[in-house]
Amino acid sequence: MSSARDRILGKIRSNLGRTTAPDAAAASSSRLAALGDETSPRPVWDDDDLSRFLRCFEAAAATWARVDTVADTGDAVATYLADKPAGNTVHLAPHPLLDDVSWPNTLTTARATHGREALVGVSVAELGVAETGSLVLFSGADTPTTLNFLPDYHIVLLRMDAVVPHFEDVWARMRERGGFPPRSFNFITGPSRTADVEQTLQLGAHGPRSLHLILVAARD
Amino acid sequence: MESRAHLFKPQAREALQNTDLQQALTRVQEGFVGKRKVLVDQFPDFEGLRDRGQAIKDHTLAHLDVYLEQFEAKVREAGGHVHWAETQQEAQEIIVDICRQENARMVTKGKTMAGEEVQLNEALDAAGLETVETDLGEYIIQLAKEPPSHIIAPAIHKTRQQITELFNEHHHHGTLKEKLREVPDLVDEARGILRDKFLNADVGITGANCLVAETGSMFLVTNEGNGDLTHSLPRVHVAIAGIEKLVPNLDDASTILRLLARSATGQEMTAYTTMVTGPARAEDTDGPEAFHIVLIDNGRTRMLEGRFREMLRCIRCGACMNHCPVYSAIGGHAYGWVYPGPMGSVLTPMIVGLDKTRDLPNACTLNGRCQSVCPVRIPLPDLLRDLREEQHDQGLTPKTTRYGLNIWAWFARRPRLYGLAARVGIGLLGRLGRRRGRFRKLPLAGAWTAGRDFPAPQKTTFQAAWQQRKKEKSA
Amino acid sequence: MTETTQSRGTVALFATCLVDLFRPSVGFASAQLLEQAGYTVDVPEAQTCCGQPAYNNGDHQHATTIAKQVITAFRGYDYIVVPSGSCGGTITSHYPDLLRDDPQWAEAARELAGRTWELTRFLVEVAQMELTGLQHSGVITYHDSCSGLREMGIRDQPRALLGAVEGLELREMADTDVCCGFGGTFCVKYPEISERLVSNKVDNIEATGADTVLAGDLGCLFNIAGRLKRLDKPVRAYHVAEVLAGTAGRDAAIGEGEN
Repeated sequence: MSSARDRILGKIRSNLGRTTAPDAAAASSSRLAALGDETSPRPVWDDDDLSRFLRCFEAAAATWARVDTVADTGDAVATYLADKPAGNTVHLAPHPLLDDVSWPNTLTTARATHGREALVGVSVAELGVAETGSLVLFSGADTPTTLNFLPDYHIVLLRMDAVVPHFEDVWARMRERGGFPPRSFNFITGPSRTADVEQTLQLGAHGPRSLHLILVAARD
Repeated sequence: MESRAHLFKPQAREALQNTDLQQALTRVQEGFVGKRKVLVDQFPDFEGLRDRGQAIKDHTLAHLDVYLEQFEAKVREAGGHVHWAETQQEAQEIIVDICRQENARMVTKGKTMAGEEVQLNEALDAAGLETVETDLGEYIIQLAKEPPSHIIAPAIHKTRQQITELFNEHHHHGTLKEKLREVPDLVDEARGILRDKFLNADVGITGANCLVAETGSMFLVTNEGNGDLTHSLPRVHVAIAGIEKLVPNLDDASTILRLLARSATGQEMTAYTTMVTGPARAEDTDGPEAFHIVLIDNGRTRMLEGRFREMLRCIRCGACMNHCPVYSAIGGHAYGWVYPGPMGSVLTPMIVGLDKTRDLPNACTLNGRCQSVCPVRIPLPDLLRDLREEQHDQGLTPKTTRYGLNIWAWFARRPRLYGLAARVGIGLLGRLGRRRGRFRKLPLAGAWTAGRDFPAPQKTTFQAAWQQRKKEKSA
Repeated sequence: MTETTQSRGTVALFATCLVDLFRPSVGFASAQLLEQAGYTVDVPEAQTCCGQPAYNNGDHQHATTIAKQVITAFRGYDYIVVPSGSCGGTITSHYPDLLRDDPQWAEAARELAGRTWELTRFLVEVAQMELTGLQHSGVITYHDSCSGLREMGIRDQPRALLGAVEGLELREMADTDVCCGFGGTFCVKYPEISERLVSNKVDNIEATGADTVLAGDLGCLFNIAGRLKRLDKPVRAYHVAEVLAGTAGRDAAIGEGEN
């Protein structure tokens, strides 16, 4: 008995009227013929990429603060949390960049390999995308995915020079890393939200209730 | 769910009289339509983007076997498992088996229309698993034991009052003195209850908005973050997707992403757009140990042949239903199956069968607003007409329609007789209606005059009057 | 009626069955406008209906027969002008589709489609007509018929023509591009849904405070006027050609009696 796989592929071939064996090279050249080698139409903006990024980021109900060096992140986090019922424990992704942060003694820090206990989570974004104001986080040894989704307060570090214009630039960066994409590749654009009750927008559906960006100006 | 599409007419009638539903439906128009328009107007070349979306999907469908094999190989390389399901039953068996092998007790689910299509919840329930929908809208209708009424806003038919009552009943056994009435309180309560489920689930099941052959990846687009908690917390992640969700590479996925959120919710990007590739890697500190993807046929391969292939371009954004005046009047449940509105009126007959869905292709004014907003330019009115043609050819059209058409066509093909009969009939009708200018009732026009007067004709036909004028002029 | 010395060409008027049967004044208004613009107007006697009811109900056999009949009847004219976006769309979009695979008729269908114009678009884009000396006092609102809007690109043309009418104020209604619920046979196959859609339309019309609603398609107008009259609303309904030809004052509005 043939497998469902073979039956499905067989039906596809017969219904496409295929007479020759499927050929990946032919498909690829036919894609080029159909689409050309130009990229998709995409958003454009007059000002610089960072301004566009921040504009979109803010429009998605996220907040941000700028620091000069990674070391200053600690104070920026403390300032952000000062008026919030977030306790004083901050769960940090095991990211080497966060080793350089000097934390004020008002905050207790804990390294987190997941987000299960975190009310406040701090992680590091690989990239920012100007076209949508999205942070890009790659899962990996130093970036637990669940730390992006379980905390109420998600704080993310991003280097100012890591903002790229479009999605295509993100794929290019990813390909440079070689191998497979990370298991989980998150574009995060603002805090969690829902409009499932009477189309009324409400933040903090299942994921973070707020998203705060620490934009790091200089490369140390 | 079992199709109730054959009950379209009574369901539509009921919907029109349901004041709660009518109140809820006005919000579809106010929200999605307006927001989409703002973003589409802002985008430099949205029409070009739609062209490209169409071209990508057409190309992928024409080489679907190639890209599916590529996708399968890449998922395997990344350590994932690929399953193929030709039918609803096969899809159910595959997923129930995975859950059994994992000794799962609780399953969390992100919103999946493919899952709805193959009645996955029913199968999981029957297998004794605790199955929890985690998208807030899906959760609400799971409590209400109702199917979704919209493909991206499943509980759009529910009012806040109804949700208040549902939560009181299910979360507090109806004992709450001060019921939760405000949106933030309702959302917060659901958050608390579902958080516990996320943390304790053994298997997480999601849909997929887009599959990428180049990398064996899938995209998951949500606003709540429930999809991410569903796929990243349990030991096992199972995704379910129709075979048509594929695109060749990541650049093509960019186009789909640019189209999807704008067309669906009127966002440039949803809060969370996630690309998942295989299970967690050795060095990862969290994420699932196993990743399965179930590729569903369920009638899709049949659509590849011939004119309905165009329907397989659909990216499930819901723009067609948001812009459909009929959907706006009756909501999603009247359509009787998983997919409502224009896209559903094409898909449901293709999957469930034309004879069991006779009203769906006909309950449309062919106004074309759906086609004008479809991100991949599916000619929905043409496809609905094509289905009507198939109905006609298979003798599925109602007798009254066929007789009516035959009589009309008999005259329309005989201009002289037509002219004569028209002159006599119109002369009579014109004299009868001249004073009032309209009829409240007319024989054989009950369907028209139930809600409208019938405007009376003028004295004679245009043809007769024109010939008269010609005669007078030449005299 | 002004007789021009030299004709700019011969226009065959496809009156449409609705105009023929129910509102000849629209046919005469259209002919008058075309003649004013300098064209010779003929009304081929062999016309009945464009075949849309059959086509939209999946009866391609009858639709094809009628399409061929129309193609034959309208051979040789410089232009075919239709005071309806819906019937016009059937000729320009659907005949070529219907006869695509018929080697004898495919080319003829495309050729006819190329010569066929909706009335207001013809007046603006081909005739480049400048209306002068027209008066119509009152506030009107304009309903875009779906086929006209989406199959024939009619939106700005009627508004441009109406802009030349003195004393006329155009107030756009909400959702002017949303279907009125007529939909050909839809309105009798699904009368309750149709009634809801036309009620929404009537609400939007009323909200503008206009005394008159205009459109370019008699199907929509009959539907809208029928609902207006059932609800005893004072808003009058006319085909746009009647206002442009200056005959709206003379003929009773759609659904209104002779006083």
